[in-house]
Amino acid sequence: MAEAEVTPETDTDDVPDETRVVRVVRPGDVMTSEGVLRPKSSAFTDSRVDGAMSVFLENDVLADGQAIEDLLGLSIFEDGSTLWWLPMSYYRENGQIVTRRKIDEFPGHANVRDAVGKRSAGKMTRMAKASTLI
Amino acid sequence: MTITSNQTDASFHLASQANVAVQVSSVLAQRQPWWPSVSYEIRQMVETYPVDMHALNRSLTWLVNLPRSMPRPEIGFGEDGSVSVEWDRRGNVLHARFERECAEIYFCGANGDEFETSMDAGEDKIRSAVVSIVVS
Repeated sequence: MAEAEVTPETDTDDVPDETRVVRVVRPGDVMTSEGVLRPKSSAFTDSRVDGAMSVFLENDVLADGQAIEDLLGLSIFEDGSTLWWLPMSYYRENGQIVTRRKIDEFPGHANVRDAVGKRSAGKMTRMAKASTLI
Repeated sequence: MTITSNQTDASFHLASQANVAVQVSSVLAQRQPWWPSVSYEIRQMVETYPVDMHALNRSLTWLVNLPRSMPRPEIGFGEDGSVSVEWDRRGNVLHARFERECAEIYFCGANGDEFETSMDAGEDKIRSAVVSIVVS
């Protein structure tokens, strides 16, 4: 996807704890754990472009009149991608800073950064194992 | 932001299939039985996703030195160019993450043992974690 014009990032203090924070996972980034699918830990790295992980806030998506599943119809994501979510409370309780950053392609986009600057391998794995498929 | 998978950047390489084939073939002989399928998977990924070749080399070097009885790993390329090598078996989770200049290990055992360490430290812990995956 061409980099959108840089838009300001704003806080998400108003987002309820139970809001589903959704990550789009590439088709090859899913594995089996005890017979159950889950994202690979590598699905929770930050982008090297802006040092943040892209997610979508379902409440914002719904408020804009769209469904979170509509993400999978966007050409910016590979066919076969899947949607995985964690509650906003998980991010808050695990040192993940979520900020809204609008993109042209879809409402509800946000960036996630680790509070200490780098998300550890353990945090990535715990996020992967805690995620739920939509 | 990178939310597409086929974006490329000059600072990273989409390695040629030949390069990867050379790297992988050098470690194939006498290695774990899953090497052919894992090397095929890595080649496919390298052709599709940007990866830091230093990180990839470090991961391959580490993998080839694992016990022959080590189960097949899951390989993932992060959007930051890092390489993750991962097992999740019977409550034992081992995640080795390789970046350009460093590598780290996360382990969580079925017995509740859990640690994170740099690959350069905690050699005994890492060896113990590998054994846990082998016997699980």
